[in-house]
Amino acid sequence: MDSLGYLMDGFAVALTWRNLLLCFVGCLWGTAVGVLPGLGPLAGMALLLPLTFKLDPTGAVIMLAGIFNGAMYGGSTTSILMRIPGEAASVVTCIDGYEMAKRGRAGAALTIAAVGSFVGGTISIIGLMAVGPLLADAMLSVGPAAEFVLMLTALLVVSAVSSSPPVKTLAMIVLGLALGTVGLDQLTAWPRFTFGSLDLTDGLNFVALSIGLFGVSEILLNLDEATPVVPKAPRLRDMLPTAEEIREAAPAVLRGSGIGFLFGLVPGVSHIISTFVSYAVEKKISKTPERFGHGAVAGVAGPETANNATTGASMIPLLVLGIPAIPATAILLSALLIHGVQPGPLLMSEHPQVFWGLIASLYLGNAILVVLNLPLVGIFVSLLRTPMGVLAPLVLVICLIGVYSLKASSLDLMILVAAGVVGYLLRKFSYDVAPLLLAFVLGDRMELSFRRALTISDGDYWVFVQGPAARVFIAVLLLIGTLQLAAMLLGWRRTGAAAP
Amino acid sequence: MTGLGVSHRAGDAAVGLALAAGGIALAILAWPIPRGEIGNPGPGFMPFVLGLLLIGLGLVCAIRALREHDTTMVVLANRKSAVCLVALAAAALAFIPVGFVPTVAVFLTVLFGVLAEKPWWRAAIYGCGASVALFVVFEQLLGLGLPAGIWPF
Repeated sequence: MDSLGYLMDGFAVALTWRNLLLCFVGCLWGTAVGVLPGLGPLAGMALLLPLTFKLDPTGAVIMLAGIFNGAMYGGSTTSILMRIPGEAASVVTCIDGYEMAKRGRAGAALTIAAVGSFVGGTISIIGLMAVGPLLADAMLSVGPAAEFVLMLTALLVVSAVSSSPPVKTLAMIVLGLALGTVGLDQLTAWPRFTFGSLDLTDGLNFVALSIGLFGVSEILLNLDEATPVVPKAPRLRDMLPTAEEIREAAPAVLRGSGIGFLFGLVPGVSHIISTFVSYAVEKKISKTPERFGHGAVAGVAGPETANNATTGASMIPLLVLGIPAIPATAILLSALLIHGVQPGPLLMSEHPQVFWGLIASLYLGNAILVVLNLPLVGIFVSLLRTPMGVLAPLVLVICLIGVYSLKASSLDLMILVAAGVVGYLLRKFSYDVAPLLLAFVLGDRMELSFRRALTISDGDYWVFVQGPAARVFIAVLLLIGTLQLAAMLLGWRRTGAAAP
Repeated sequence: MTGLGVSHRAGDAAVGLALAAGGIALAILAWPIPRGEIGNPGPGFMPFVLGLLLIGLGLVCAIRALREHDTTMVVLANRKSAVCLVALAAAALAFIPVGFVPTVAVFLTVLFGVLAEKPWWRAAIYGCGASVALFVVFEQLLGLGLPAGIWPF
């Protein structure tokens, strides 16, 4: 059966009432957390992760992908209306989106952002369908040495492009790997750092750690800051862009789709970089670059499209290689592992309903989000009127429920609190905690691949650079990492100059 | 906004030193675990190496922070976030032995009173109401199985 046939099967899975409802709930929750400043896709997914344990793997991943997509969409709303990015990838949208809002074109900016996101998301999913099966075939011949090199290089690229200084990111990666060593050793079953606790034999609880690091610390950081101003939602009849705005936005949307897809394939903070690069490209090729920073339509359309195109593309490293390119996909990886599904080259053959069902649900999720975001923008904006004093306690209770529901363990609840405090302190002093989580997720597999490779090679460390696959990974990922770093610096310099 | 004010430089250096201390602890705890040989690593090899790396990186972070002359003040745990943290830790301890409804009712009452600055009687009504509502949603509708504790249901 070809990809199209499999996709039709995927739609048959995604279009069941149950999965459609899960996709809708995910999109709704995702948009809500994306709108609320501070609560990004990671916190949104981590909070609802425990609820997915009762679902089948396909339903769980469909719901989580809906949250991820929804949060990416929702982040644009506060960027445009309040100049406050709902999540980091929406920072660039603030520049021209807010300027459009000040000129009374908030509705048009929101529509352009929503439609651009839809197109970008859809094009990236087509790319995922095209590239995914080819890459999976190539990956089947990869051994443990190359797998180790691939994961190590991915983590090194993350450290090079993270928002915090590389040495701090490296420290976070090492800390994440160290936390990943807690529990029974996979090869010898030797208990490591369990202190006699049965709860720790399976390792530290990923859900408690991720909710603490992102959810609890986010709440604590928000309580340290002043309450933001609540904006006024645009009227529905002001949502339509003019013909001139559409003409300006259309090519930017297409370029943003391409840029977003390419950057989504690379591990790291791809969303943020792709939006900055898209903005820089649009400004560079514009006939009126002086309008950027003062409400240029392409300055909203390009980055918003790139943002969502990156979302679809970032599924490729996750589903095909089993490597989460960004922290949000680490939560998807965790959900799949909890359900006994190992993402990687065999996913398409062993669990086709999960792979193709997810792709089909991404299509549907994009459509749901356009329908959801435009007419309901007033409702989402009203969420911002919820005082932090009411929102914070309720979110914390959901954190407690989420962690408890996994294993009913007091230790996990303590890990949640401790991770919250650690995350709060680290983030206060500019440590990016996302690489910690990525390293924690990959730690087990990295160690296993490392030791297996050495066993196979009889202790010869050259095995890590000898195989053709290992060499290809080192060369390709280092090249992409360098290009990404250069593009990031270029994009930031240009947008930095453009920012008012 | 009141709170514990520390200079970014001092705090940053303290975090670096804390990471280095964590690395020392990790290396010490990993020492008794069989490390195997360099060509055939055992279960203690990776944690020990990671401990050494963490010591090095933590010290580099601390030295970098001390060499910067950043005089920015960082507010750590103002009154609201401090109360929130203490309440969360208490709720986490009481969650299973005391049960969901009483723990969450007290937790929400305290936080609605302190964070949302509601009168105490109103905070108590909202707190109790919300805890019961959350119990109904998560226990009855979603079937998550919340702890009963001392609560009769």
